[in-house]
Amino acid sequence: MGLLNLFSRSHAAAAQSLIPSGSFTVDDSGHIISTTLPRNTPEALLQQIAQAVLSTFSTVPQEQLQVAEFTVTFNSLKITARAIRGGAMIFLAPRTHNPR
Amino acid sequence: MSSRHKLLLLDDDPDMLEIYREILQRLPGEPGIQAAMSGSRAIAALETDAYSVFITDLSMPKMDGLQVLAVVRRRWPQIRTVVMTSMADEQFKRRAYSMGADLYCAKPSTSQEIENFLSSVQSLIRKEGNSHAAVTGAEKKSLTELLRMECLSRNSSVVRCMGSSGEGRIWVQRGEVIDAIAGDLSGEAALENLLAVPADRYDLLPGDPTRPRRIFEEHRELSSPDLSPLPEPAPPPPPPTRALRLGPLQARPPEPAPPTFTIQEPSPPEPPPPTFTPQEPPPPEPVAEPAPEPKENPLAEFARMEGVELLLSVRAGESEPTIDSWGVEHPDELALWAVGALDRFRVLGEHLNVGPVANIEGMNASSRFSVVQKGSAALCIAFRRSLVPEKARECLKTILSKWAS
Repeated sequence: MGLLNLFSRSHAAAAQSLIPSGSFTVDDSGHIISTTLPRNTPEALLQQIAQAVLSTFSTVPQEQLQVAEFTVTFNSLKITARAIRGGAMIFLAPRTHNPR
Repeated sequence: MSSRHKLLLLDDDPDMLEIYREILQRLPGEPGIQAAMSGSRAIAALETDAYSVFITDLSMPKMDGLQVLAVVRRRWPQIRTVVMTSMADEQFKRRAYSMGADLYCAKPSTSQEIENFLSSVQSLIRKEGNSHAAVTGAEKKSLTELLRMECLSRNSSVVRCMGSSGEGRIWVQRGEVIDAIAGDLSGEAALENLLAVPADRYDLLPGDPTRPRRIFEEHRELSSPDLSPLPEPAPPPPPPTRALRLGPLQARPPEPAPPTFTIQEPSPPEPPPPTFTPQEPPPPEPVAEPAPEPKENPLAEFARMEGVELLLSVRAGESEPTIDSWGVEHPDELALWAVGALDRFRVLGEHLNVGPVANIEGMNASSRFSVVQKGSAALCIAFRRSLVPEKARECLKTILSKWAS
């Protein structure tokens, strides 16, 4: 049976494949308003991303550092978030290579 | 020492800063021009580098131009100061000059006005070059005024009072006086002692957020927004030398009781003092803590790099994290946000299986920033947005390699 493992995708690769390339817009309570992502993208996953983004925008001490847009770079994903009136626009860009 | 002069511009409007920068670059000798968008950033820049001329706007949120000017005149009396404003108000003009401004002018709008402005700044640079010792009347400020500036600016700092016979310290935390020591005195008694006796020199040191609070009384004279100069405290009567008196032996003598003209009611006879109990030894005097040596800001080296506007470093400590900052008014708030954001996206990255967070980069109308984590430490840097991105990246790389080591 071990031979089959060679042909099966790893758990990490499977999870990563859930994140397609595209963008979505959320309101300030995290509800998805519009999206260009495939329909089969799990909504729960997008909401997790949205919550992290909205918390980052809402907690920034504006007097010290104004944040209109930010990009979080992971090994295999880039999340760009732009603050818009009443919410945020979020861009997902999976990265195909692993930079060292 | 380089002969190239440096100018510091302060305005809350980034567009105006860019316009002034372009105008001032026409000056002969191509002076180095730095810009700051808030009073605290301007002060951080002045602490880091030597400037010949400081040019400030007047109306700004939080610390206005006059407040910053007062700090600059007191701490860097050799710097030539220019107040530029669009408010044609004689009262402001008088006030700016009385606080030691070298030049008060309207914001130039026509080409002739720009030429006039440039020649005025050029003449100030020349004067500065000729006489470094020249000072204006606003150089010497009282401790009360210095503390008032710190309180009004909601600063966190330590004021060191140096006299020939010793030194005292006053801790200001977010605009409130929280502790003081003077010789063997501490807390309220030490503050009163320091306020009463003028010292030879006052230095502002970085704040100490870990300092416990021992002063709880509100000092109204320190929170009054009136910026008019306060009278200096009268020097001690016949002192052979003007020195800071510290310690209980040199504390102020008790004031004589004011004369009274009322007929006092005869007070009931006091009970005789008990004679049968042995006198308890007086409680031990609180031992004054040794004054810590002023520490050089570990981020000052990075702050001198071109385009750096803000720096904040958070390192996990045994009990509390160590926060170092440059150009940040409330480092704790920014540190909390940076660490929170890194943690939030670390958890998200683990959940999505996309690896660790390499960095968080962002921008706003005037600056670009990066938040980076190395082990248990985090660094937040903001660069001026007009800085060429390649240069900003190169600068960030250099800072990161030095900071991480």
